[in-house]
Amino acid sequence: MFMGNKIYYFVVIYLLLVKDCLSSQQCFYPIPNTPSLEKLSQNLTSSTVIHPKDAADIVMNTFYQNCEASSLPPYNILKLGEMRGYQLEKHPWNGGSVSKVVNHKEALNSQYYINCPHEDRKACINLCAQPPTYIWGGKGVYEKNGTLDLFSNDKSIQEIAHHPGIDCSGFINAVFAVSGLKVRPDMSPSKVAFTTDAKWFMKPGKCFESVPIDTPFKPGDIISWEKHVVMVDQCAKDPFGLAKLKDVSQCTSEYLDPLNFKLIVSNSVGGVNDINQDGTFTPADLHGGPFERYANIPITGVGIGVSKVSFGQLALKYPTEIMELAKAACYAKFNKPFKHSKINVTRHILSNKKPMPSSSPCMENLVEKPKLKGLECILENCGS
Amino acid sequence: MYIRKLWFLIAILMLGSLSIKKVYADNKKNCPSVRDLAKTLILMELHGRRAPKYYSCLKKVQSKYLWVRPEQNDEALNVQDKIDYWVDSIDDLNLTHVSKMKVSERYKINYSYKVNNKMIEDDIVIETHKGNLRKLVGCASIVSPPKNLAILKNCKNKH
Repeated sequence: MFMGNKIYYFVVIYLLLVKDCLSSQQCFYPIPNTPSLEKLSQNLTSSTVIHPKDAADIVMNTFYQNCEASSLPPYNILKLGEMRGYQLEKHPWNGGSVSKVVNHKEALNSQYYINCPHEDRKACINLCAQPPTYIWGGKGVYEKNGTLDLFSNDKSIQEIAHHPGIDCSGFINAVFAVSGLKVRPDMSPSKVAFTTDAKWFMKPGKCFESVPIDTPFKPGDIISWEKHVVMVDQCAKDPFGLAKLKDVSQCTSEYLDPLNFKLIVSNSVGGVNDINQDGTFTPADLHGGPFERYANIPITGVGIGVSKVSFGQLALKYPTEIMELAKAACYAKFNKPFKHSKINVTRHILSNKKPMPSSSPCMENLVEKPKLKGLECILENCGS
Repeated sequence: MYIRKLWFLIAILMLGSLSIKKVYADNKKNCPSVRDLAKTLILMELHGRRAPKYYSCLKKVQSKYLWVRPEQNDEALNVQDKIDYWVDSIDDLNLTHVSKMKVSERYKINYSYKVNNKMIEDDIVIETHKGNLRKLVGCASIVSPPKNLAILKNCKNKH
């Protein structure tokens, strides 16, 4: 009886701690205590540069009008799938697919960062009436009065999508605009947003330097490839699990397990399957592997939108690029050459600079830094 | 009483793990040879993987090729309107050389096909997968697409 009692408590503790931890991916390493949104936002309104990782949190919380959004466990793509209740329509001239809500209840139920049935806080934007998702070509609106409105988009997009949404480079460019760091010294944040795509970040430029693959990644670093760009949110000391490997022959997918990568990124991620020319998604649209075919999760092609995800889970959509980065790190560990041409890691030259210079071509005129629409409402409601 | 509760909890745990297994239940444990995987990926190319106008042709064959995941997001998708060659028949597809590359799990495949009775040569780079990556995306993916955009002639009228 006594023994059974002990085992019972052990199992209960296991269930409470380990199982939940595994499902939320937090057991890889704890989410660090980030400064409160209120504290961060004081910097936002003053003339100082904000670290890109903190700016990403501010953008995310504002985008979802939820002061806890950025500290939720990473979005588990393999458990939650993609957004539901939307349908893709081809944009009239930019070639991309724009989502529109076709089933409002489904669209609300698939939200992870907003909780409409229990939402009792006031917000600037009623996201429950227009639930956000990823939108191809969504960059927000950089208004002439210096406001960055992430709840609106170009008219041609809004004619299809009546809800907020942003694409991957749109999100990263907005983060740098909010941080006060310039992506391109010769351009305003508005121009950057509409001319700087994911692959642009692959090459070091005047304001970005390459991060050697054998050095630790830092929060705020940019990982980019042809079709996507993400920002490092958290990174373990050994993000690709290389410590256990003995030689370069083990730099294969057998030993480099994307589902065990310890790297969390902030991004706005689009559809896992983006071949959806006829607007309706059927199993015939799925080209993918066994998981996509048989997983009992919605793979709708709509995407997820602004989120924090495990970098390894992006292998579902970008297997070559994700594994190339892990293999490059693995080869570097064993001092073997490996040209990683499809993916790169870059870092803003000022992101970790201390003390920050008073002026730089890679820094905005901080007095004129864009004001983020909707931030004031969550600040008022959240407090610290 | 506690033992009964314990069994109940263990049952819940097992049910939970069953649902995970179900996700992977139909995952093929054994993958075809590199040659077969390469041929599969090339056939998907010839059925219009990079030419959205001909997806209806691709949809008819892709269910056969469950074990591969052609990269859908590669740069080659941008050149989707200009068809370089109309291939006579899949019967004329010939894999001429398979070579292992310096990077682990990558293979360069040289192949040829017939266009108006003339042999056209091209190559493709593929990557094979193991472990959880295989469970996620299948046995192989395209790393670099062929240089030419070639579609089967019998796909011409199927869009």
